[in-house]
Amino acid sequence: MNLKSAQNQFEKIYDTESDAIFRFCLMRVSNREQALDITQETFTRLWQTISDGKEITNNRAFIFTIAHRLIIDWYRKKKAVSLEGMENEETGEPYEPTDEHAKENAEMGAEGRFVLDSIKKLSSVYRQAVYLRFVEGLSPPEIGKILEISTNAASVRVNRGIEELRKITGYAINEDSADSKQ
Amino acid sequence: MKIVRIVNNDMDKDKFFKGINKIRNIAMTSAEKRVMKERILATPIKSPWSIYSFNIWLQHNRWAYGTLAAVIILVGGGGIVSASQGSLPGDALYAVKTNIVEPTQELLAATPIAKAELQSSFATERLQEAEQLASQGNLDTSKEKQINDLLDGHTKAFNVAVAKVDQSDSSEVLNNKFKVNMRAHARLLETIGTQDKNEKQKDEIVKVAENARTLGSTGDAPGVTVMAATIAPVAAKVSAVAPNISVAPAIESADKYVKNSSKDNKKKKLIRNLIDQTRADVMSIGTDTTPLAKSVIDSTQQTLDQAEQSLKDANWQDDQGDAEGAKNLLKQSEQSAAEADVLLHAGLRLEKGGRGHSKDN
Repeated sequence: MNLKSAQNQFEKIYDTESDAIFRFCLMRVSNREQALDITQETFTRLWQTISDGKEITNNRAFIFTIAHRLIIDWYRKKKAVSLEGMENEETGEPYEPTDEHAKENAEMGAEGRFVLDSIKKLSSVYRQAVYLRFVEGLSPPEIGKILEISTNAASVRVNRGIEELRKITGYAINEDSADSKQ
Repeated sequence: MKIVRIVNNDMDKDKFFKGINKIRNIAMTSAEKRVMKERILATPIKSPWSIYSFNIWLQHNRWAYGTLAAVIILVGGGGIVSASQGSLPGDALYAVKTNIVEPTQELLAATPIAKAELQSSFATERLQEAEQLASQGNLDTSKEKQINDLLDGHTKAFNVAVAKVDQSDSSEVLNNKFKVNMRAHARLLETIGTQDKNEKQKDEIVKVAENARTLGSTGDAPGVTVMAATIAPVAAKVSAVAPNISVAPAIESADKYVKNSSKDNKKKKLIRNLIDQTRADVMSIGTDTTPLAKSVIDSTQQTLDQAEQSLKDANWQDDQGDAEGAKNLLKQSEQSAAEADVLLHAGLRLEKGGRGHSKDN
């Protein structure tokens, strides 16, 4: 592949997916600057992979997987330097200074904030599966790939997450509707 | 009453999806997006030519291997060959090991199964080399590239050999063992990476770990026999380097595992036992450990947590009446348990080696 076509391929993916990756990072690191850094690192690795001539079969799963691992790495690093242990790696809640969210809160409005807060209240095992399924519209095989679990395990996590989400929100949500309103 | 419920349900769903759509409004500003893209595209890209082109040419030319092997053995004798075994990328004898000794071993392997096993062990060895280099602070860009290229080559050769294996059971065991090893070593490398204060080396560690994880993440979860195949030899090796860890129950569990694999409830119990056994191994290590050992233990615990979660999910799936789904989750649980086991023991071996002991493969 020549450089020009590699660049075109990269730009196409970047233009369609960069916001989703940024959102995914922001939801988990709760810090805009850090989310931007991880997003940039994710797409830098995508660019290196494409320019290296390597083939990617599923772009979305590929970049979400990279972002997922970078976030885990970020938590580990943070845990190592944290004196107060304010967050617990990957499974725990990060500390969340509310003023950093002023911009996102305005963009989301009360409805968005309520749903996102409800998703964040889910057990850590289900939280990411539900987020990826409903907010980003990824399929169970893609979620499985990203979270490094089987498709079957991904489906179970989504379904059990929905059960929990129903209790938290009081909304009658089901898995079938995840694709219909994309 | 029913109509009221349906209307309420629809309203609920609307509220929920309105919220979801609002979340999707979160985005970067156009300036952030543009600057980020410019920065990424300005990063240097790798040259397609490298000093390893000769190695790659050699890997594709069996006659060249044969001739070189004969010359080396005639001129240098067996001493060079055996001395090359403990070499690492960057050592003078490393090329002898990877370009002559290993390909010759592969040429001499009689069956596709033997060839696949060899390639699988070479791939694992490449990752152990990366781990050793990383723990010594010696993993630079050229060594990372060399290891990743070799790893890709071993994987290709492994897949070619496995494709020639007639018995599907054997190829499944080979595939699963390969993947469990790749994933476990990827995790170990990531663990070493998190301990590393040298950002440059950290990047190289991540590249090797990512490659290993990619190679280990495609395809199905391990089948029934992979646990036994993976655990027994590892447990036996560990007894030599970590005598405070009791391995006999692990071997026993692995044997039991094969015999009872046809019954799901027994299988669940055995997975449970293996998880408990690895947890017991972790507990027996004690608290007076290095930061690396602590990280390995943390990572092992997380992998065991995943195994437990899959086991719980399998029970849930059983309760839902989905036997097939439960079976797949049991496999997932097996995979995580095996991964935890390999990770723990490979990590402890590395830790021992890092204190000046001889390299243990």
